[in-house]
Amino acid sequence: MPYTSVFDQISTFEWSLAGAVFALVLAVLAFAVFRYRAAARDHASQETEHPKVELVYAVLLLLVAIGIVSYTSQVGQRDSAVASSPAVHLQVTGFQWCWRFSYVGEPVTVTATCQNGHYPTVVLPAREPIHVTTTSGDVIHSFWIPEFRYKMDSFPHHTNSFDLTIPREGQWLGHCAEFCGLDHATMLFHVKAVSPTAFRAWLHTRATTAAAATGGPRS
Amino acid sequence: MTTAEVARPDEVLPSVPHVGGWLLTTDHKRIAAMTLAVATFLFFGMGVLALIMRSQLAQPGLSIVSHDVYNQIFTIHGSGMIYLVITPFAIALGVYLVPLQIGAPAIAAPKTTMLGFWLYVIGAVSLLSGFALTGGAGSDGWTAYPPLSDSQFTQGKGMDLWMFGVFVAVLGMILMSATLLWTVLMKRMPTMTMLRLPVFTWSMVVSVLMVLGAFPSLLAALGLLAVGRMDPSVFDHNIWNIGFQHLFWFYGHPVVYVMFFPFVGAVAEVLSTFAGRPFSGYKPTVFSLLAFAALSMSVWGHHMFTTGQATNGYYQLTSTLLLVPAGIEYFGMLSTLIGGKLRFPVPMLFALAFIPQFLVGGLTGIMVATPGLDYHAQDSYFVVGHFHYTLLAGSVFGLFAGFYFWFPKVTGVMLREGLGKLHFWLMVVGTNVTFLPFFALGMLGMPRRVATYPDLPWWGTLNLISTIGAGILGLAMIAFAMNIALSLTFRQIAPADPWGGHTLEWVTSSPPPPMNFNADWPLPRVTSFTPLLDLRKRAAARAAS
Repeated sequence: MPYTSVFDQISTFEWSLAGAVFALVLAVLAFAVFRYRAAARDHASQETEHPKVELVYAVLLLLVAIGIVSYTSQVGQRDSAVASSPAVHLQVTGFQWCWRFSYVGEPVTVTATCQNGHYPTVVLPAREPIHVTTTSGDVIHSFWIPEFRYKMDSFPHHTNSFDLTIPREGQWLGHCAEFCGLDHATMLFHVKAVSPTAFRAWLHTRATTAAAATGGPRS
Repeated sequence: MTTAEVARPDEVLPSVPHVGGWLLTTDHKRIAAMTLAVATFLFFGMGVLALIMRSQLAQPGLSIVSHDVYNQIFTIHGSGMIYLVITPFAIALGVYLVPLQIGAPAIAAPKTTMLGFWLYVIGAVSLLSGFALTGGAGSDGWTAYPPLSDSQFTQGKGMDLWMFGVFVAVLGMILMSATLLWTVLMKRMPTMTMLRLPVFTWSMVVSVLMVLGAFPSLLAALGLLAVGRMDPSVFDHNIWNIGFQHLFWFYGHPVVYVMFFPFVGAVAEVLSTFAGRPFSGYKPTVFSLLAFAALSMSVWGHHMFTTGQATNGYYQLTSTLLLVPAGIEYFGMLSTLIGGKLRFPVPMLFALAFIPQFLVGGLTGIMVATPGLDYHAQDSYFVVGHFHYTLLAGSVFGLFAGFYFWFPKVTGVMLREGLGKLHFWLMVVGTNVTFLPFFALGMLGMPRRVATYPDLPWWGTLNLISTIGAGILGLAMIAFAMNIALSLTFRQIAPADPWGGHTLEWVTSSPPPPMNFNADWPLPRVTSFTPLLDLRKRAAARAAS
């Protein structure tokens, strides 16, 4: 889950900054409202310009903006490294209104209807780099696993890709994030990460079953 | 028809309307008042739609309305608020006030302004009439991304009516904005230089510049959509799908500031009036508004971080730079309060609440402008929380500050303070109880635009809190409606200047005469952006000497 650590780091940084700014503005506002209320004043200042203060302040703001962008993009860089040899290449296809997951190079596909609680479960190896490509069969969808803090849009007539490493075994819920029509709300899926050994066993079983179902050589 | 009594003999004035009364009026005040009235009426309607949505989402798995109807409701709520309520309200506020604030007797090209109003009304009727069809109204969100919105994936006439309605209403706004800009540039009274324009007028100048620069891009996007409604195969090519998003957001981000700046301007006028001093940091604020508007044309791709087809680093940089002009505006607002002599009638309460509440929207805006964070937050309830803090907790609070401030000027009648305060406090509580949970829900993984959601830990509780908040907002709007009804029925007559205002609209009667100023209500000499404050200072100096 490299995105999770990137997200956490950026999140901590920006929430702290935002919290400090909010507290400061609220404090100044509360001070002003109390200190300068009409009951406590005999006149109002008529001053309109503080050019030097504002100039210094504007430069400060510019530095803060540049600081935010450079820090967060530096942290963000870490997630864009592409694995040279991914353990699995997963093809994710969104359609109205469910998902189809294909393991590229294997005759294995996972899908469901997303109706009446029948959601597909995509099985992946933990701790190994996974290459994900995503596209759509109809309208724009978006492949989002909230616990991984990452999503990528699934466009028709276009393929997006990203790399993913799931650090531990477990099961998580995913949603379609891009509004895609009538049953967008129930376009869910599960991600199940298992040990690499268990994953290969699972993939082998599914491949064998698929071969049997399509009339392959009997064993 | 004589115009001899008007202060400017060099001005060729439109005739005072007598045929058609209100409906064909060329008086900018009547055109604006009608636009404001329609927008306010529709605001209540969009609020009702929001209450239906919040009822449906109060608990997981409810089906008060079907998915199909829910999708129509969130589409019309969002489209209605943006295209038919806040944008028209913002521009109409300018159409009403700007000619008054610059000492002009009329708006330039008033028939074009009036055409803008009627296009807006036709657009609103078209957009909403979809509800009367068996297939229902438009249901693809206010963004209407293809290929979902083409005729293959969204059948029925509701979407066509939506598309036509948005096109026509937005065209109306472009026309109104053009005449407004023309008025400011060409119709200012002598001595009213550009750097003596009131802050509100400047906020309108900047807003209409963005309208003229960015809104045509939406017309182009809708044109593309119209092609797709006739021949959906155009969207079999990715270039037109992603191209639509670029065209849409080139409009879609500046429009956020068109829905925001006029209310910043209103808040600035209210803060300075009730602080008894000129707005502090006038020039930096004017220049930061202009810089803000220019930058706003370069940030649209931050809505597309997850498309995998935008230059994320570039859009992060331009978007984050917006904090510089925004910070300067905040400096102006706070430094106006410091050193002032503050009074707290209802407009001031809304203006004061605007400051921290909009800040929540602004600070979360920096977060969603950061790709590493937005990959999670995008299209989640976090974003819904973010833009409701900018638009409701920010713009609408500014709108109400302006509403209570200028209602006496427009109608000649004062609003009730007591009901106004009730309205205010219910709004503050309702807004924050409704929208704070959205940030948590987004982080927990709740996608936006969902008609229902799974029963996951905290989701039901947070949504229930939000729905209770929406109920409080409903009560606030009832107090607001009662205030308007009561004040218009049992009238407390408003004087010309009930608040001790600083700008020229307060030197004329409430409501102003047809040509705004006349021999009974003459224009004073203008020496700064607060001419009435200067007038009072000169009078005080004379009295002292």
